[in-house]
Amino acid sequence: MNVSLTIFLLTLSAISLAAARHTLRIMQSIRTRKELCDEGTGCYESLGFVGCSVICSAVDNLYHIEQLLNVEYDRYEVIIVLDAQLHTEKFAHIIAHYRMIKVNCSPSDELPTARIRNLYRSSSRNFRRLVLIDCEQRSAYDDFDAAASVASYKFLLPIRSHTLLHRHAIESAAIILSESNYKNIELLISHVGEGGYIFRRQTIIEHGGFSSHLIREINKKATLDIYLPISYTPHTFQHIKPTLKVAIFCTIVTLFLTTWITWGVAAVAALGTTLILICAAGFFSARLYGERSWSSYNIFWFFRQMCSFFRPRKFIV
Amino acid sequence: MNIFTLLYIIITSAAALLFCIMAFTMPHKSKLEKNSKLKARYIKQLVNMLGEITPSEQITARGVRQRMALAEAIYIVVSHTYGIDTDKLKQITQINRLERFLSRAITFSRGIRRSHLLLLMSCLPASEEASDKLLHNINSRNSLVRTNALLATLALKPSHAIKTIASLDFELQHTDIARIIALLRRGLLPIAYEPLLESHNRNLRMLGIAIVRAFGINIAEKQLCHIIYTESDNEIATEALYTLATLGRTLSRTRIRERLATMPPSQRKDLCRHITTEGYSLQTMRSLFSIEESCHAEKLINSHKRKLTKIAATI
Amino acid sequence: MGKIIIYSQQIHTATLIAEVIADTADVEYCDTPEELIRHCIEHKPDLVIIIAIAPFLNGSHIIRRIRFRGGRRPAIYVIAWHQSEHIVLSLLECGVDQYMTFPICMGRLQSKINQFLQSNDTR
Repeated sequence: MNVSLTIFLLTLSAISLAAARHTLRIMQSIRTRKELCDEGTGCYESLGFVGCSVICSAVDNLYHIEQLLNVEYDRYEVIIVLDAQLHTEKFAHIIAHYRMIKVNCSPSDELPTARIRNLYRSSSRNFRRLVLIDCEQRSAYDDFDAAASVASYKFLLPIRSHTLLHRHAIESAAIILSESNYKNIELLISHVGEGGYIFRRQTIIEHGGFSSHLIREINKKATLDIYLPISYTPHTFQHIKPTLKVAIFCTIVTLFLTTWITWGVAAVAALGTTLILICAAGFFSARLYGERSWSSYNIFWFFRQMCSFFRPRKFIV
Repeated sequence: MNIFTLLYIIITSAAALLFCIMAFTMPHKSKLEKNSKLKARYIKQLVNMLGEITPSEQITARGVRQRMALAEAIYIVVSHTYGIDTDKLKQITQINRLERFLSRAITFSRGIRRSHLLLLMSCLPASEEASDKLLHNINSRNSLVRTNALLATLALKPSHAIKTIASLDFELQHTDIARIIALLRRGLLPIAYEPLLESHNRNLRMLGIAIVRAFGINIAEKQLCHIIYTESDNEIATEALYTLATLGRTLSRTRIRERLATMPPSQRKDLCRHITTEGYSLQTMRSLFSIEESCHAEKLINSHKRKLTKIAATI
Repeated sequence: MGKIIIYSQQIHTATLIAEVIADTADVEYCDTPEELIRHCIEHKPDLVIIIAIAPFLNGSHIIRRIRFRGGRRPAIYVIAWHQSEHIVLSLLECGVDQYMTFPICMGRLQSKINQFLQSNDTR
């Protein structure tokens, strides 16, 4: 057997093993979560006083806010950052719906980058978990900084528009973060579906706020990788940029053609079965965390998460 | 085509097929619904039987599927209620040999499956011998198995609860403690908080503090303060401090301030935010934290207030 | 016989509660807020039992929708695991009539519902 074909087959084997390993990890984590958050286990109201603030940039839809607030865990809040001058109507709508009132707000001494125009809290006790910030629209990182400066809890989960939370996502994150082995964890990264990051608030302050290179600056030893789904977008393959779709298509075609020309039909068959295996693993893991149908979007994300090892450690929103 | 390529194609195809089969059979709606219906039927029968003074018909479960459904139904009923007639439950367990069935299933299973079976066992009115058989699971490497084995042991031998917890050679996590508290809420464990708070065992102390918090025992203030002053383990002292703040008790004491001074700045800041959300006054903050920290606390407290003069002016 | 609707996303917990009170009333079960509202409009229940707290905290104004204008104003009982004071106060402030925590005593729940339905009949 020629050397290049051996290397090619070994590479394919490594990819297949990575897919299988990734799927098994997801399966294990989801079964554990199911066991911990099932009907009879009772309520984890405040695990070791671990609290999580969901910080949202570009979330202006009432339905979306409702979904984010739909969490049973007690130590939890949702902080919405919106520019009242740009989104006047939507801002007024949120204020009216949640009976919010303007409260005092002084510039943050922890995060000087956070420039808040006005701060709103609800006058209703049952919407106490919602905080609304009016600040000038700049970048998502600035929005997150503004939200982090008023957050009440130790951990921050950044959320972008259209992103929703999986059922029991906060509870399972709190279960992990409350464990004494992980008390020095600064960043929790989810490698399932569209992923998700949970930062320790203090870490954000120490690094001067959110930025694209934030994750790189955090010590790898203080980072915890988990295989539980945290957030998702109700998107399909249609939502992927056309240029990316074309790139994916071209890559696959080129890969098959090159393989065929170089090593012949057998190698093409090997490549084909590897791709089928990745698709099957992606499909299976998507079914595991609740996606009901076959979705090429989920498989795309499965592949991306599998390759996350090769991607630069960046916090891209 | 050489043998290695062929072998690779066969293995990957088989793996892909396996994932596809698993994906399609996993939710297997009809099977799930069937099991769910069976479980619901048993829950109904159990509730009716427990409500009657002289039960008219017996609950019978034959075969693995039915026995499992019955055990899960008992688990649902027992974990959500208190004060139920354990004699009747014992009768059902004996007639259907559930204890033997679960014990055997636990022996032949591992991982999450075993932990689930242990959880079911914790709700059965099984004999004390059954708990002895589970003891080795308490030292399992799998944390879920460990916790559920502990819960089962505590439920089966409630009189030995303190001894069992004290002899653990691993640290109880907050999740484990929350689940032990759930047992307490069902009235299963005869544990008083005082000996736990006075104990020198870390697990017992943590459990004691959690009990004080969960049941809002304000009279435990003195013991909590004692832990804050004297405890060498920073985690326990912090837990006691948070609990004291959650109970809304006085924090501005010299020795608490001294303890706070030994804590790392990040922990102090976290505590400062916690105390603020619990509604303590600025005066308390000033007495506990440094000038810089109390300035931060002042801003936090202010962010929960509305400037009335300005509003009046605009009106 | 009174009419009760139970809302829970946990089917077996709902079955348990439904069975406990089955002798005292006609019990319906639903697992989505939309279904709950539809049931309330169609069946005009005397009592709604909600086994969750999130619908009251998310801004869906579930109580207003259950007690829609012109319709019957059913009593709302909530059963959940939460014990913290601010959650209990939040629920009571937004219009919940009774809050009970798990674990429940089957006999007590039964008599409480019985008592409520009887007093509702005499009114």
